[in-house]
Amino acid sequence: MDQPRIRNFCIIAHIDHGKSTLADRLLERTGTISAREMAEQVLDSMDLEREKGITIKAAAARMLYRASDGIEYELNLIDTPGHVDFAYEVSRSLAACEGAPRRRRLPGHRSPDPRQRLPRHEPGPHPHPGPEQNRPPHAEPDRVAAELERVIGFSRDEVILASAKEGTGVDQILEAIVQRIPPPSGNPDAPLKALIFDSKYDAYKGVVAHVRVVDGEMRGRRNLKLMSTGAIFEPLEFGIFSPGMKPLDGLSAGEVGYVATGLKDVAECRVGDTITWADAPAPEPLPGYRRAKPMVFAGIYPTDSDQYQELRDALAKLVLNDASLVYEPESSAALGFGFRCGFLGLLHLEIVVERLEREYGLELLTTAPSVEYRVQTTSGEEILVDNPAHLPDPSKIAVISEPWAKIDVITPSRYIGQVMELVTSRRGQFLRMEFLEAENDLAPGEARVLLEYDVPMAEILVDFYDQLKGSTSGYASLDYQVKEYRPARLVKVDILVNGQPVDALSVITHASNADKVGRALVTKLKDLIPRQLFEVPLQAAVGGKIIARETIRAMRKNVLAKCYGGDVTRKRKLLEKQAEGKKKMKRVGSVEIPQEAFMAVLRLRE
Amino acid sequence: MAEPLAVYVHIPFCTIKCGYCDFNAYAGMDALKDAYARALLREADAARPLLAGRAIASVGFGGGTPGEFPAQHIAALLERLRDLAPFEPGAEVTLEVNPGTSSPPYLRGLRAAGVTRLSIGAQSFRAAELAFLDRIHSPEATAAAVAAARDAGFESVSLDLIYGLPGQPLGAWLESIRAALRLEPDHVSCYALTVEDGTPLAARIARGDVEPPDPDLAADMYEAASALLDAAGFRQYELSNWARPGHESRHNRAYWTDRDYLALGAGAHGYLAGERYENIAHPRAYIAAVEAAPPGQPRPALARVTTPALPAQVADWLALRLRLLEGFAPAEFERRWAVPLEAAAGSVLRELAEAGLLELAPRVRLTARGRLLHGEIAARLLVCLEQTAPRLPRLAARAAPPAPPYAAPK
Ligand SMILES: Nc1nc2c(ncn2[C@@H]2O[C@H](COP(=O)(O)OP(=O)(O)OP(=O)(O)O)[C@@H](O)[C@H]2O)c(=O)[nH]1
Ligand code: SF4
Ligand SMILES: [Mg+2]
Repeated sequence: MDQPRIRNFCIIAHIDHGKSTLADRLLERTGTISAREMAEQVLDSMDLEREKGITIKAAAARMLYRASDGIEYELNLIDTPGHVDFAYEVSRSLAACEGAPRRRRLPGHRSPDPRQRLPRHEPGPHPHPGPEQNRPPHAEPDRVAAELERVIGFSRDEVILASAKEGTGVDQILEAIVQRIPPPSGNPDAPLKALIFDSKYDAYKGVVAHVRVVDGEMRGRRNLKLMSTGAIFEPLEFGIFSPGMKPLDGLSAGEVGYVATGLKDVAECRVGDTITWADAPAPEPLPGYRRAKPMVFAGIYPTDSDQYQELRDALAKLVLNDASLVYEPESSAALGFGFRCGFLGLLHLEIVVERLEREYGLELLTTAPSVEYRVQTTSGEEILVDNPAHLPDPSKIAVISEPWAKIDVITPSRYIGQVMELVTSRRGQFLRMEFLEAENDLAPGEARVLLEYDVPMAEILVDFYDQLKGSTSGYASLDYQVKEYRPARLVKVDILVNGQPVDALSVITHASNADKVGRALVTKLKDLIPRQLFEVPLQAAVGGKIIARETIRAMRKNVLAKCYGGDVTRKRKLLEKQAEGKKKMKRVGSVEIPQEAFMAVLRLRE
Repeated sequence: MAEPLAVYVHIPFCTIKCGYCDFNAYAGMDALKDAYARALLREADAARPLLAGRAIASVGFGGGTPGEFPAQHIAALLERLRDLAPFEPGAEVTLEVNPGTSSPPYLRGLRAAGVTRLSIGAQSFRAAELAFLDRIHSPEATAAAVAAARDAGFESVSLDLIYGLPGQPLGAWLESIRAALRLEPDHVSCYALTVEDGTPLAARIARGDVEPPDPDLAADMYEAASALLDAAGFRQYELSNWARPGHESRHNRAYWTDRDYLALGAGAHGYLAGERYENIAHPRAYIAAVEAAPPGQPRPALARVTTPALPAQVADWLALRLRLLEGFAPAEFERRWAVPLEAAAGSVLRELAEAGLLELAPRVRLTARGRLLHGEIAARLLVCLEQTAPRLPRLAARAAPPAPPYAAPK
């Protein structure tokens, strides 16, 4: 289609604010999906997305819409995830669009996971707000519109009141997309430039690149080239998402779709790269993306070391579909060979592990997450440490610094005390407070307050969101931005199991907390590690000095009473269950350690 | 003639359902007993082809409470079995009775029917513990039942005891054993109370009304019981069983030594030619299935056949053998499975021996500590066999054939 009749846009908002539900309404209204095929949040097609009820992967869909001016437009929608851990998905989606209606949910809604606002510097221009019109008594459209006006600078009449749930305001949104989002403005006659904003691996079609064509067109068998890797391929198939993959004979400037490259080596086709013609390449590539900067690091190991090679292949393929994941091989004395992986946050970590396990049939073990520390050694070197096991000996450390973040908490004012207490217990420093609403207009404690703090990243990594939610009955929202590194008195707590240090159980903590953390860790591990055939001492140590000790007593009794009336099958089932459990454990020395133990540090507060 | 066969008969009726019990047992269905007895006869008749050319080595009646099943029904079934296959000389016919329902005339009736051995469900000699277990009898009733059994002429009398009840002190348990020994049984079985999922007991524990049993205390109880029974002249021959010389239960041995056993009755389990099978569990459904089955169907109440995977077959063999204190000779393993024991499980066996759980020579058998950890040993053997079995083609050749696809009779 000609560019003036194309609109590319994505929907962005906080997590759980109904983006995917709004997408449903648009797909329905434009007849892209028949009533028979329709499901709730139909674009959330991954099993994990459906189970968790959240969007993890951005998903594209082409819709045809005849607007009130009588012209039929091609609308390319990208539904994006709301959780901050997937902000990188959003920023890439924005680069593929010209605009984004935003959803602003009305207050009074307790979202299941009120986490983050959007990344701050997204490139897409012309955002259009679309707050919902919903029914709860405390839904106050006017108040929200006023806030949008003040905070983002939208004018009142730019705001559309709509309900994705009830399907009201959908026509207005579609009209606004046509009228307010500019059409793409690439040059259809210039050499091809198509931005890869996502990709996935298909056993038959090789790497399938999701692209936004900026200039030129891709069509037929004309060979194509990836500008950064230089790889050349003959395209196997072009198509669009509707929302399933639907082949077409080509894509032209302004369009969003896919190209099956047939490339089997996943490293040759990277997200952010530019596709051009092999015979007449564009002089320079599109800007691409800033690489995502991982915040959280953890080791991922196969429970069965024979699966190392499979894990390596799985990671290579998963990265295609999740460009924000970084990894490199590492080895652990306790766990053998695995990978150090960097994630955008804990939810991201959790999703990656679950996807690896499900989509690639692996059984994995994850070590406790860590931030990246900067260590200045006594010999004047500076090293980065993202694995506590690699922290140099204390005698060789001059200074350790840790990353700090500035956090913004928005909460009804009645929870200020609880939030203060929580943040202070995490070594946080109060910066400022601002009332976002005048108190006298509202019931006492209702007015929303913005609280700003500086907090060490490591302190908000583990269960901070959950605690914040818990102490504000789910009302608080949280946003963070990584700031600078600051020196701190940090020490490594080592854990010895049966006298052997287990590198994968080490944690870095503030010196003033070391005793407490050491004690909590061995106590937790005592619960998590089952009794063995012999007594197992557990010790926590800082720099060789034992700070806490527990003992797991030897197993004494594990025997089934009788074989009732010859029912051997039932006995065997119990046995098989025990044997299954054993296989999931990692043998360190002669001690069998279950997977949960390596995440014990996440559960110290339980 | 093929090797002799054991027969297991399940009688699923009980006066009340005990709170810890998850056996295939039903209270309040006494009205079905006559129809059930007829169904057992029909099922035995149908099994004629399975019995052809074989002798019966033993018959075991379990339940439920077979000791509440009319003696004439037991007599009729035993007579029918004798018509179908010769009983070996000295064949054991053992039956579980409840002390509360073991009157002298009833026990005389069982003896006359051909029952040779009684296993009396004493469970405990403390009234409070019996009440906790929902048992309907008193300690005195147990003494009376033993006396009645002797009067009726039973030469082998066993007492079943349960230990490890919530809150039960060690001393109370030892008192029950001493009380049992005073009755001079020929055989004693000691079972640890197991909290089975879905039972009222499990629910009481989950609610916090009852303390969960303490496994370490149960281990102390086991060891103390073992010492008392040894001193009284009993010899332990299986993990839960002690006998005076010559009074070991032959019927139960069939389960542990890879012998075939035929299943009769609702929910009964059988083992024939390497195949484990199970009858329809509910008594009413069982009766209906037997009555409706067309002639020529040798297992008219069959619910399911399971042929475990090869590693599990071998692990079962090892785990069951190890329940017997005599263990087994490595040569027996090789005779059965065509590969040396060393190749199949050598590494784990050595590791377990080093940990003090097993003796390896001259026979492979549990040590005193190993007796308390049989479950752990069996699980490790299974894990090991899952790794070794696929690499041992000769072993695979000995495996039972996979179960045929089977449509349960409507
Ligand atoms: N009342 C009301 N509920 C809505 C509306 N839109 C969505 N919901 C509900 O809000 C929940 C979340 O909706 P989603 O569409 O999955 O939200 P999302 O923004 O796509 O969430 P993420 O992709 O995980 O960030 C669902 O239970 C929807 O039924 C609306 O306009 N009004
Ligand atoms: S008597 Fe035995 S079979 Fe019957 S309910 Fe009690 S424990 Fe279960
Ligand atoms: Mg969504």
